[in-house]
Amino acid sequence: MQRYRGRRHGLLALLAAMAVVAAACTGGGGGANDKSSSAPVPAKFMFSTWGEPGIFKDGFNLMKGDFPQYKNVDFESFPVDDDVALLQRLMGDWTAQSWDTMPDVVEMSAWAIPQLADAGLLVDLTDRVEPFKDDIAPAVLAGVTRNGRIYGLPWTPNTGMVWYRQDVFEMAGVDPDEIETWDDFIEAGKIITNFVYPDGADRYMHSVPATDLDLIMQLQLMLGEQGAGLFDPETGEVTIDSDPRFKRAFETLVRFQQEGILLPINEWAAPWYAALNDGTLASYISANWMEQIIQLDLAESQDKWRAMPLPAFEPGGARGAFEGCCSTLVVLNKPDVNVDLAWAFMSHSFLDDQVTADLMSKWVLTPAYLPALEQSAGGSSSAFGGQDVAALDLSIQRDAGAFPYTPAYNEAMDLIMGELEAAMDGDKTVDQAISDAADAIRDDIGTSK
Amino acid sequence: MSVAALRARPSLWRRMWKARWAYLFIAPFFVNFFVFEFFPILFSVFLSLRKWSGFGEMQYVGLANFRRVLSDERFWNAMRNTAVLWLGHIFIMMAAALLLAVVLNSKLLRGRTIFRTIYYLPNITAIAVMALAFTLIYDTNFGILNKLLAALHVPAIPWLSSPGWAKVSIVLFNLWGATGWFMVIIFAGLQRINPDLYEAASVDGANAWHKLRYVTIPQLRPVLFFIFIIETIGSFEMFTEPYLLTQGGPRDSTTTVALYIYLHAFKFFNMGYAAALSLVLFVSIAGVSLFQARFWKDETA
Repeated sequence: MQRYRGRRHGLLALLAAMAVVAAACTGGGGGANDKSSSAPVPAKFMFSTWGEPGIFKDGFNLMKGDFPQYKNVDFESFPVDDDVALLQRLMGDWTAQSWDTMPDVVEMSAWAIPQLADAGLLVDLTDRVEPFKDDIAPAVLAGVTRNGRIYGLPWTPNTGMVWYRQDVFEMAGVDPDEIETWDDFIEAGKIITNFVYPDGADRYMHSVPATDLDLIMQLQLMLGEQGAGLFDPETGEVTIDSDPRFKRAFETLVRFQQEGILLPINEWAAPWYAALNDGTLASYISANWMEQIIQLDLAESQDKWRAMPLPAFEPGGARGAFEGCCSTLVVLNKPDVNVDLAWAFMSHSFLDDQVTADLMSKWVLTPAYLPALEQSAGGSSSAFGGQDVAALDLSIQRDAGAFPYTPAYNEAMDLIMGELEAAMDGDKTVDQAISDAADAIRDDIGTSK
Repeated sequence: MSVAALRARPSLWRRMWKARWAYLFIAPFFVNFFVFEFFPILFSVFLSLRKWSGFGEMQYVGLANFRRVLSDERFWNAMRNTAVLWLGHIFIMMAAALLLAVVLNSKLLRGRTIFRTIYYLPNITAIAVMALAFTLIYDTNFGILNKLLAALHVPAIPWLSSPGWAKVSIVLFNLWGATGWFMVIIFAGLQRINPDLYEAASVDGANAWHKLRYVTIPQLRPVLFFIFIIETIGSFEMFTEPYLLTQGGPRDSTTTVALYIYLHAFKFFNMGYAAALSLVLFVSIAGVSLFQARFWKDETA
């Protein structure tokens, strides 16, 4: 009897211990969002980005020169592979309340802002960004705003553009100035793919991943320039099967495949870079960050590339959109985060006419802060045949449309891509594919706003 | 036991104290097990009854996640893919590993150690490195495999961009990476076979095939059973190969259950649903393993 009672007590003690651990592990949460400036200046400023940290380190060091109270703070950067990896890391730190390993500021794409803001992970920067509102494109600022509050500082916008090879277009007799609409783009693509080139090579108008279909960027751009999204902003209901703008975008992508203008090749791999360099890919629909890729990774062919605005859906229609809004800096809402230090770094680096212009020029990037972009515009470089890409970017930004993110954005896009692939393979009609995507989103996600 | 005898026995605590050093030596394993294995399993059960993104508050939803699993077409597609990839490679792999082990066990073969090393090398190579190499090899337009086929006037194969061929590509990648290890295990099993059995078979007029069929394979039954179970469990947990080679595409044709769970947990941040999926996977693996153990036991009986 004693032995049985002892074993039972031991088991109860074990379960109790586990319950305590479970309760501790389900906790999360940092401090309140009204951060004061009384937090102590830390010895280390922790930063995380999935891109190149050099520009941020440069910016931080420049800031220290003008803010002597931070001169002894070290900049420490933690790399991550991509945004998803960053969120996984933040989830681990947040759940375990591991504030020592959690960065103070992270650089990320804007799509995760709704989710993180709703969970209380981000510091509200509205009052700090407010004085600069008119100097950032409205659609870019909308991308970092959630429920009327601003949670990020956009530092580089992803202005949608079509990059094309001037030499291949000339060979095939395509005049880029005549490409005004997506129909014009497809017709030009047919000329490009059907033309018989002196070297006998095949050429294409755009690429599509060979394995896992991912045309999310292009779909976002097409929706963004029409001001369309996936969900009703008021009710959160999915709208893709009732919004003609979505069908127009979806149908256009399917036509790319049907007209044979797509090269099936996995992006960001060696063969894809080779295809861009040798002109197998005569154009690529992306954003302004392609400028950096071309100058740094495709140096051989950089003088053959040009940029133009996105085509519109009808003559005279909107030709501006942002891919994923922008890259943005957010301050993580952990206890004792020194928001003044974080804001000094962010604003000094990316909201200053001269500092921002110099930093971004050095790293071949476009600033979201329009006065700094105006400084770069009007010049020309040896790349892109002397084309003033900064001026083009500036002309697009002010009127460009925004794609509205919601917390279920990732999952919804994944479901849509599956149906897009079925339509592109000819297994479903466009209407059937959109209807199935909408049904899947309603079943799996429900509403999202 | 009489009451007097019970009263005479030392208490549980005293017996534990007496054996304290034994408990201390086995404690690290149990601490590790409870913290990193048993607790996560319990937490998964807890999480499967909730809706949670990994951030913010959890919302209790009862069995809603499990009801969703039943009607989730993508999940059942992932189950089918997992089963197809498992069946597609396990028998070929076991046969190849057995054949290689038998050949390498032959005393007539010179340089056996070198061959064994070569065949084992894929097993110790980082899978990410192998996957990167295979991605380039399999590339439809620029890959070396299609270049070789072109030289033989065979049309290019869409190794990673066709739903059917993508599965074949993963099976081949798996075979290349795993056969060596199982070859080594079977090779070790071959060393334990009594040579007198082969002598007796020779006396009875058995040729090489008869010896393999009636001596080697029966004697290796426990080893083969072990390999079958381990590789079945591994196949149901297959994640790295489809994640690195195809990201589950094209058109979810290579999305395995483990990859699907990963997508929901770490791309869509549906932690509760991912926990429910993982419990369903656990039950499936347990069911299949029990069935296999029963099957092999009946065969041996």
